Amino acid sequence: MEDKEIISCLVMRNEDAIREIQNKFGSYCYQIANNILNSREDAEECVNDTLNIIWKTVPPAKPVSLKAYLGKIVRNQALIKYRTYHAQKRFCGLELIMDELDECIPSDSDSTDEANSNMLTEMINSWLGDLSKADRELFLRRYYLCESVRDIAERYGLNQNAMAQRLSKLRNRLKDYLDKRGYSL
Amino acid sequence: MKNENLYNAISNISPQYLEELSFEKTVDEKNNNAKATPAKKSKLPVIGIICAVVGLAGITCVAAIKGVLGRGMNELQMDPSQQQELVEQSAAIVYTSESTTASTTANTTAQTDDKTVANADKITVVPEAVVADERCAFISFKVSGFTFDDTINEPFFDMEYAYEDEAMTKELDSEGGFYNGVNDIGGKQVYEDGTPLQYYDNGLEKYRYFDNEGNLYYLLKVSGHGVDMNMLGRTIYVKLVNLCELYKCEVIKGTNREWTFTLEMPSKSTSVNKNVGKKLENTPFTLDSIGLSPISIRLNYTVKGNAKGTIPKFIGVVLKDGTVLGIGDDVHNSSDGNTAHQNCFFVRAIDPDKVESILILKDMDDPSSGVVTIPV
Repeated sequence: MEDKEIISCLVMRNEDAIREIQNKFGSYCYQIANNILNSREDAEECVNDTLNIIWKTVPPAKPVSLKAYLGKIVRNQALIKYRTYHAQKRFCGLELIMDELDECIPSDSDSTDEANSNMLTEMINSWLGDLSKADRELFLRRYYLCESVRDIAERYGLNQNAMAQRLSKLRNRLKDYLDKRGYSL
Repeated sequence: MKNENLYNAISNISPQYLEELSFEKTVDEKNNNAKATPAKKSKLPVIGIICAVVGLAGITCVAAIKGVLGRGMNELQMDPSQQQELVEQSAAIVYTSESTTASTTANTTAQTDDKTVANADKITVVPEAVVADERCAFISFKVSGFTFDDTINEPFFDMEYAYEDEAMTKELDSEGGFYNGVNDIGGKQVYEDGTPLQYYDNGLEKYRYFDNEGNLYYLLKVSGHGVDMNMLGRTIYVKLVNLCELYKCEVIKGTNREWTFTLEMPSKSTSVNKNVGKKLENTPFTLDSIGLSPISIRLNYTVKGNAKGTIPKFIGVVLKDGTVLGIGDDVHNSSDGNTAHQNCFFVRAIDPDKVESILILKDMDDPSSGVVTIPV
């Protein structure tokens, strides 16, 4: 079933849409959640929550890209779980991701409003567009899909060190990019 | 939290970039099993393609390599006679203290604490050798005086940079890693002495970063940003920053030091140009000619038709004895609609005289597009 048909099914309150989403995007959502939470049980729970949310939010929402919409929800659900576990001192894969993202943030940044957040997304989109396709894929595998450095290194047949270094360079380039545009988070 | 803002901003990125990412479905999902299960990741997909299309005719095993270029070059798996030949041809240089300039700077802004390596000022980093051609250079460095438990942690330079100018403003592409004593031959991992790889109880590989005297070796690959920069005869400037111990990709202890080097590149090319004139069926590309050296290849295409923003990708070679080597690594491409060029760097060195044919994936973005074997 095409994504447009799935969205139409959701609008018509046809539960086949959920089965189709699970079939088509279940692995994608699970991968992201499991990469972040490092727990099969929690990741499955996160995927179920994501399916519930999409059922409740479409309509009225009409996503342009189902994949991007699901990715956003599952990342958000994983973040909520991460916050809970972080308070409980349970280890999560997201801790490393957050530490790494810290490196991209200009040191004088302080604001947190939504307008700023939209601007930041625009800047990241623009920065991603300037990258080579290979670098863009690396960045997104690490910071969108939250794959481990080891897994990404294996995928590209590189050792972990080389991959960690490539990612480190990309973070520095993003920091420079944000710095030069006077952006504060 | 600020990093959460960045995390959330990344959650909203343009869908077009997500569409570029492939993710593999599991067998369960393909069978419409309702339960989501983790996807299996493919390892070394290119080697998989080669095995499927050509079949591995033979695997070359190495004995301990003790050539003139030093241990740092072992990752390239050149035999001693090839190393000697490259030095005699001026395609490789063994550095001496007279032929390089080096300096070390302590990062004075960093605090010395329990995250600083003890005796960091006693650690030395020395360039050992370089092998280069028009397209890229592999430079090896010997690191002495840095000790850590290599059953747990790994050595790492926080950052490495290479520049074409002394002011260090024109950055080159660079990528490096410490030699871990393991060579990958036809997808099989062995130690540099040819013995099988050993594993810890948890399944992780046992690496051998240190040599018998406790030294480490770092191999840096440098190339220009585009396809047309010539590395030969240049002076380049390299900066290695904060040698450190890494545990699961997290820095445990660092040296807070920078090492900078002024390095001469070899002057002679060993690259051989060959005319090919082979059209890649069902693509708009005709491979006109190649330049093949021990460490890289350049492919020159004419394009007739819509290339749809992609280009074929070099993935390996078939040697005259039938051995298939999947050696294609990083690539630099250029295309103007009528012609296309690709520079591809090898993960291990070859002898160009022993190459019978090259292997090309028709579409670098589509692993299922098919591999063509082209005699050269």
